[in-house]
Amino acid sequence: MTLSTSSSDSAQPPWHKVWAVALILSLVVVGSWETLVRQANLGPEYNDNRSLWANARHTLNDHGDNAIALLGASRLQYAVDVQTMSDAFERPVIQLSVEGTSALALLENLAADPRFRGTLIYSIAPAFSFSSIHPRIETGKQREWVQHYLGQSRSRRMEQSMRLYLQGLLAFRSPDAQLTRVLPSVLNTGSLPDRDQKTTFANRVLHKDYSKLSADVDELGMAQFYLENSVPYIQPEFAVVLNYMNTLVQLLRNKGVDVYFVRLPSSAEVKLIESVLFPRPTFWGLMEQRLDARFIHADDYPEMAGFMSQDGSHVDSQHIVEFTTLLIGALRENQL
Amino acid sequence: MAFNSLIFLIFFAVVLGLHSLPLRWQIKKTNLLLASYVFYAAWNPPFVLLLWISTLTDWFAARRMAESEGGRKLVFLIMSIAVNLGLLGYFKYGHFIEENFLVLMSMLGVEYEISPGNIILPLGISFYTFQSMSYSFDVYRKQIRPADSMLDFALYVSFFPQLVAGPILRAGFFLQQLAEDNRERVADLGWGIALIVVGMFEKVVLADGLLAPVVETVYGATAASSSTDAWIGTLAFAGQIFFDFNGYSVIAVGLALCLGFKLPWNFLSPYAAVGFSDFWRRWHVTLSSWLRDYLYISLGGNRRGKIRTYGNLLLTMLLGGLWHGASWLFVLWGGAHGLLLVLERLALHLFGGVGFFKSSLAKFFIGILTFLLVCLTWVLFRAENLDAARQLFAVMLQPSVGLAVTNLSQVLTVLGITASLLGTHWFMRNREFSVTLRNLPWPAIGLILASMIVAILLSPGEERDFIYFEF
Repeated sequence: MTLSTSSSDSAQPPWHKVWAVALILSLVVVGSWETLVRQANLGPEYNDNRSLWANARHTLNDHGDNAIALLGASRLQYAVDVQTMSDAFERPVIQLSVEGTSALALLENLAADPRFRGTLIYSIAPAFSFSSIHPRIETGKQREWVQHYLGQSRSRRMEQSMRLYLQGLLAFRSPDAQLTRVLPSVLNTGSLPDRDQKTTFANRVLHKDYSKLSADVDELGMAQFYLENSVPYIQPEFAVVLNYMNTLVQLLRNKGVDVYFVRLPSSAEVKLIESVLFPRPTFWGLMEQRLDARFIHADDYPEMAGFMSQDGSHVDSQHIVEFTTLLIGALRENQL
Repeated sequence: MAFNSLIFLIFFAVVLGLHSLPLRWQIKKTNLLLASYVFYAAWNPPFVLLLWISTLTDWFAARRMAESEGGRKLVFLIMSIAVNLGLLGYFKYGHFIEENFLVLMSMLGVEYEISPGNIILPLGISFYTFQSMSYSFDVYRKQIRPADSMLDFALYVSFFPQLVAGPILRAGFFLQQLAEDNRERVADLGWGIALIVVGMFEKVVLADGLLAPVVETVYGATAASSSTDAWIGTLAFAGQIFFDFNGYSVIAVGLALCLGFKLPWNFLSPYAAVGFSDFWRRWHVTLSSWLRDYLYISLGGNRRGKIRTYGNLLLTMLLGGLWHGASWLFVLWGGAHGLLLVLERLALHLFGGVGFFKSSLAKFFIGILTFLLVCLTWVLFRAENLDAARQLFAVMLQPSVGLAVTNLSQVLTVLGITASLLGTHWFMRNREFSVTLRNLPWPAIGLILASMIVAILLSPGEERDFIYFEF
C-alpha cells in the first residue's frame, strides 16, 4: 500500500457533480428531518450538559457583583424559574445546580473566584450535600464540569456560544431528535419518540413533566433511592465536611457574598426518611450553628409542600412559577 | 480550535479564501504561517513562544551542523535534542518526574517537599518537537540539506493541519512541496473536502457518538463490570481510538490537500495486521517510522546480535509508550508491545520455516490473534489507573455471561461496528483508500458523502477533544 494522498495520482471523479449530489441530498434529508421532528413537537431544545453549564458559569462572571447564583442538585434546578426570580429581585439569577451531585465543588469554585461578590443560594439535599464522603453517589460530575469551565479558552467559549445558538434554532440538533433516540423508537413503535419528560431551557431551567413518567417512578422509588444513598449526619466525616464548608463560606463572606442555605420541601416517604436520617434539630441545627449564613427551611413555609410532584422530592414543573414566588417571599423575609 | 468545531470551519474558510487569491507564492506561504500561529494561539497564546523556540533552535542548529564536522557538528545536534527534549521534559514530564522522585525519596525514608506547581501541557508539543528534531537528525546524517528559507522551515514546523497531532512530517518530504506553487487546485479541493467529511464522520459519529459513551460507561465502572461488559468496552475503545485518531489524520490530509499539499497517511488498515511488526507498520505510521529511524536504528537496530536487538526493541517501545503520556500505564503499554514484538521475533525464528504459517488461513488466524492482543493492550492505554486496569484484566479473563453496566443495544452497536471495522481493514489490507473510493461510480460517491454529512449533522453529541490532543 502506498502513502499517496493526492488526487493527481489516479483518475478523478467529476467532483463538481459529486458535490452537487452530496449537498442537494444532504439538504433535502436534513430539511425533511427538521420539518418532521417539528411536526412531532420535538422543537429545538438544549442539552443540560457541561457546555450549557459552563456558559451559565461564564455569564455569572459578567455579573459578578450583582448576580444571584443558585447552587444545588436537581431539587433546586427543577424548583426555580430563573426569570421570575430575576424579575423579582431585578438582578441576574444564574442557575448552576447540577442534577444528582453534591454542590461542594461549585462552592469551592465560587469561593476561589475573586470576581464573584453577589449572592449565593445553596440548596441542601441531604443525600447529596455531603456525598463527597459517600462513594456510591456521583460526585465527579460537578467537579468535571468545573474543570471543563476552568479549562476553556476564549476560542472554546466562542465555539460554545455558536453551538448553543444553533441548538436553540434547529430542532434536528435537539437531544430528542438524535438518530440514536429516534431510530429505536421508529423501529419499535413505528412512530417518532415523545418529547422526553425533561425539557432544558437556555438558562438551565429544567422542566420535568411527571405525567410522562412511568408509574414506578413514585415516592416509594425515590424514597428507596434516598434510603440506599444517604449518609446519616452522625458519621464523623460529616463534621469534616461541615468544617470544610465553613472555611468556604468564610472565604465567600470575606468577599462580601451573602450566603443562603435552603432546605427545599419533600413529601410523604421521602420526607419521613429524611427526617429520620437528618433530623432538623441536630442536622440542620448544627449547620445553623457552624455556618455564617442565613437559613431557610421548607418546614417553616408549609405552603411550599403543596407543589410537590409524585416522586416526593421535586417540584412539579406545572407549579414552578408559584413555587418560585413562595421562595422569593421566604428569601425576602431573610433580607434578600 | 479543534477540527470538529464551528470556529475552525470559519477559520479554514478564511484561510482557504486567502490561499486561493492570485497572490505571490511567498505571500501565500506567509499567510499560512500566520494562520498556523493564530490556530495554535487560539488554545493558549503564550505557548506560541515554545513553537518559536523549537523552530529557531533547529533552524540555527541545522545551519551550523551543515558548516561543521566531527565533534562540533555533534555539539549542535545535542543542542537541538537538549532544547526539544528539555521543553518536552519540563512541560510533559515535569509532574511525573516530581511525583516519582517524591515516592522514591519516601521509600528511602527521606522527607522531601516540593512546592506545588501547575504545569500546563502545551498542545501538540510531543508532535512538533519530534518533527523539528527529525530535521536536525536528517541534516546531521546528511540526508537533507538545511532549508534555504526560514519561512519554509517555520511553516514545516507549524503547518496547522498537522501541527497538534500529526502526521509527523519529514522535512525532505514537505520542504520540497513549498518550493513552488504548482497545485492542481480544483481536483485537490474536491478530494480534500471529501476526506474532511470522511474524517469528521469517523470522529463525530463513530468515535464520539456511538463508541465513546460505551467506553466511558465501562471504564468508569471497572469494578462493577461483567466479563462481557469489559470485552465490549475494550472493543469499543479499540474502535474509538482508531476512528478518533484516524479521523483526525484523514481530516489533516484533507485540509492540506485543499491547500495544495500532500501529507502521508498515518493508518494503513492496522486491525488487519498479521503480527505486531506488521501492526506497527500500519498504526500511527509516522510515529513508528520516527521511532524506528531515529531511536531504534540509533541504538543499533538489529545489527548487534539477537539479545541486543530484543533490548533495542523493548527500549524503543517503552520510550514510545512514554511519549504518549507521563504515566506508568503508557510505559507498561509500550512495554507490552515491545514484549509482543520480541516474542514475535522468537516465534518467527522457531516456526518461520513451517509451511502452514505461510498459508492464508494461518495469516487470518494470526491476524485475529494480533487484533485480540492489541485490544488487551488497549486496557493499559485507557484505564484510569493501574488498579482499574488490573480489575478489568481480571474480569476479562473470567468468562461470564450477562451485562452489568452496558445494555443490549450498546453491545450490538459495538459488535456491529467492530465487525465492519475488521471487515473493512481486511478488504483494504493491500488496497489504497483514495483509489478504492475514487473507482466507485460518481453518484455512489455523492451518496456516500451525503449519508456521512447527514449523520454528522444529526449527531449533536457533546463536543469531545481528539484523544491524541492529550499527547
